[in-house]
Amino acid sequence: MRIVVMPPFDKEFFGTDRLDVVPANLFDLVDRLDALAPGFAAIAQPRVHFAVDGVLETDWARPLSDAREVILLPRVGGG
Amino acid sequence: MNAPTKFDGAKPAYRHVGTRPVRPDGVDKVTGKALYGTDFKAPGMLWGAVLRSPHPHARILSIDARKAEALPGVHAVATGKDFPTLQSLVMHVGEGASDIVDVARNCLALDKVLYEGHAVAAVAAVTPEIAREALALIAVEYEELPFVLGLEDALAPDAPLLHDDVFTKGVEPKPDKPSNASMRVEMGSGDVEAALATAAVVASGRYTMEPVHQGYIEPHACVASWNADGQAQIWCSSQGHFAVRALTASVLAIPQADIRVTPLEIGGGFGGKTTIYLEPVAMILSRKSGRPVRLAMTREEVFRATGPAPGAVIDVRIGAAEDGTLLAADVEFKYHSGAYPAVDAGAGVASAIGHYRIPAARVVGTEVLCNRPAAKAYRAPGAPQVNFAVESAIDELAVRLGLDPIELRLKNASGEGDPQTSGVPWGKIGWTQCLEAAKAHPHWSAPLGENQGRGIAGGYWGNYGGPSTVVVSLAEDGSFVVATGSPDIGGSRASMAIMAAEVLEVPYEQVRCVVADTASIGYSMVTGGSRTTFATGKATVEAATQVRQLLCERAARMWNVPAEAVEWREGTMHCISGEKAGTSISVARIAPMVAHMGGPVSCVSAINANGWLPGFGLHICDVEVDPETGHVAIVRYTAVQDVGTAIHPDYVEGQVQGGAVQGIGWALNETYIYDHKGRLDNPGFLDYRMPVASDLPMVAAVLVEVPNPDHPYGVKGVGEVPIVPPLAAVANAIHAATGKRLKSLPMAPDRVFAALHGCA
Repeated sequence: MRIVVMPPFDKEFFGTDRLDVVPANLFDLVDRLDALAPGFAAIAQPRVHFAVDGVLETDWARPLSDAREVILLPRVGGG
Repeated sequence: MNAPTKFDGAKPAYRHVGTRPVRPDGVDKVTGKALYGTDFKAPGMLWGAVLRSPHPHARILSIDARKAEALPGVHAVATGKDFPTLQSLVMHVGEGASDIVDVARNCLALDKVLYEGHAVAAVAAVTPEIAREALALIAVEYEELPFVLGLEDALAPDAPLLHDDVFTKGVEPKPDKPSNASMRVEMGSGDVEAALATAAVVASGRYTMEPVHQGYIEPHACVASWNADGQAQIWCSSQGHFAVRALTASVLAIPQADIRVTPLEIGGGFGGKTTIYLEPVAMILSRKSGRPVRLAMTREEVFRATGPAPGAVIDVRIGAAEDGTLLAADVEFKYHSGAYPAVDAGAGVASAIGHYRIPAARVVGTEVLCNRPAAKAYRAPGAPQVNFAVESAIDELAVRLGLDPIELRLKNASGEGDPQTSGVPWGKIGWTQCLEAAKAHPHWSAPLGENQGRGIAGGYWGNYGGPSTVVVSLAEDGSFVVATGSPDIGGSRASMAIMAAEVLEVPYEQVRCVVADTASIGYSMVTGGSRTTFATGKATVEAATQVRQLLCERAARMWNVPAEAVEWREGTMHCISGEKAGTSISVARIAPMVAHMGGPVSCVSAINANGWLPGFGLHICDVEVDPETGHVAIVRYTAVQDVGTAIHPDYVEGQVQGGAVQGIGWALNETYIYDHKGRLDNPGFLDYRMPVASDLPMVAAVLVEVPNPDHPYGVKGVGEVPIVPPLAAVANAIHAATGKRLKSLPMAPDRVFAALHGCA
């Protein structure tokens, strides 16, 4: 599975925009990313959106076994 | 037949969806009965007032409130020291991520004031007059510090630092020195410089603007009552009473369940009421005094101390081939964050150029701290500013290439499956349909008069879904109540009633909708992000569907037939097979009996709504420029927007018109003006000039319906898109009328006159 980390999270946490992780679901992904970059889990919920195979996903428990790509991008708030 | 189904494209014939019934809250509002924030009073209530900093940047050396506390009639004084010690915690409540330490400090400063108007202390007294008198008795000793207001000034190496613990996020290597640049976001792909070098034409320029305010008519106001047993109530107007609860509980370090927040009517928010300013201060005063405390801002306080939209400096270069094909874009912007880190850069990057297919692009956004009020969300936060630059440059390309501006946009328009700037593909969007609708609209081909010009601009906003809870209950007489946790700002009570009535196949008037307090319904995110009709609507449809199914099951039990033998039609249950075939019972007749067949009928839907889609719009603006004064009059304005499905078209049109008018105000008149001491010079509607009805023609709203397949009735968010295009649409119209391209907002008469007469 391809994990793509968009700015600012690539530079802020991981030093790369591609990660090699095979998570069971998005909760698992957050845990694994937090192990790579401590502190990531604390900001994941308030600041990060996850797009799974091109669709923004709000169900973090959804299994990712069939997913090909997860993109981490800044969560955008409206007004 | 009108039960919601997975929407597959063709618009079904609806019973209620798309109709325009009278809004249920209308009578209260037009007769003055509606209770807004400042209308609410509690028995024994004290009146609060807030002391604010006269300095844009200063250290608080001491606060002596003894004289104020001794004034007869004063019951409590609060300062920043009354807040508990807080650890940094980033929360997503409201419409963005905020650190609760910053939220608390913004409510009452602790060691430094960061902008003129920053709250320093507060008083509760038996009358408002005594409260104000007491404020004057509080002695605050300040050490004034150098301040900075401008974006580039704040980034200078010797700029005064607002925070010594803010290090720029999103850069490598990680900085080892604090900075006023709190965040940098860069996205893009391709070799931009190489692609620009091959372009036949490159439109470039620097675009600027100062912050603008959301301009809601109702000032912030609340009443708080904190009992000795630790339980509290807050009555306030906001865009999200659950956000008020979460933030207030967090900054006071108390359980959320100890606070019950009751929403009052809201007189406008536009993003600016997704946070808190007064509520924890009123809570502290209430705890100290043992009485309910009311706090309300004056208009001047609203301007000086509540979040504006960021000002901006935007540098743009966009290159196109001879035939108008866009080749490359380079956009770099800086946004004011004000006193605390904000989150608009990511939104600005996402909203800059995604409406076009551009093979090589780079978009960079930087958030900049400065001694102004902390920036807050304002309708499509972060999008209008950068769109102003991008859509002005697109217009310049069309002019220089001799191409029709709609055709140029059509040639390059993103469609379903095309990648956004982030790489995530667009879903079922209606951008091309908007462009086609604009091209076909009579406005586009109407003749123009002397000194008149026509401009267009397009834009988009991502919208959102998110958590919502809805309860649909059957009353004993067969009417229905829909309870939501979403404050009604744009007519959502009517929209929810329409959707529930559609599912239940009953008259609209048989369904009433209320906004329940935080103790009476499950969590719901704010009314913001253009999410409510989509997300809360989805929950309403789901809960109403459950009610319908449950009532069919009850009728089946009553008739002693299988559940599948009962069919719901026109709000009536019909037995269609077996011994009771042909028997029917209406909702009104079964309602009094449901308690005897399993209990009351009340169904809840608590969802985190997925499947939202962005909205796109194209605005056409005609202006007439007075060459002698520089005054710009809007003579005709048409806003075309993909709205998915309009549940209540009146309110959808109202959103489109309201957003357009706010954008026009941003374009022509609105701006914060500071003096040389860092003090706001125009904190009132007399000098902060918002458009009024007599300034503008009727804004024509053209609703393009490209339904969202992931909503039962095809809904897309509509409230934010319409503020995005007007800035450039007006500027492009002025260019068409005068040949002058204005790149600084507002395009007030003095600037237009200077451009026309070469005295800039």
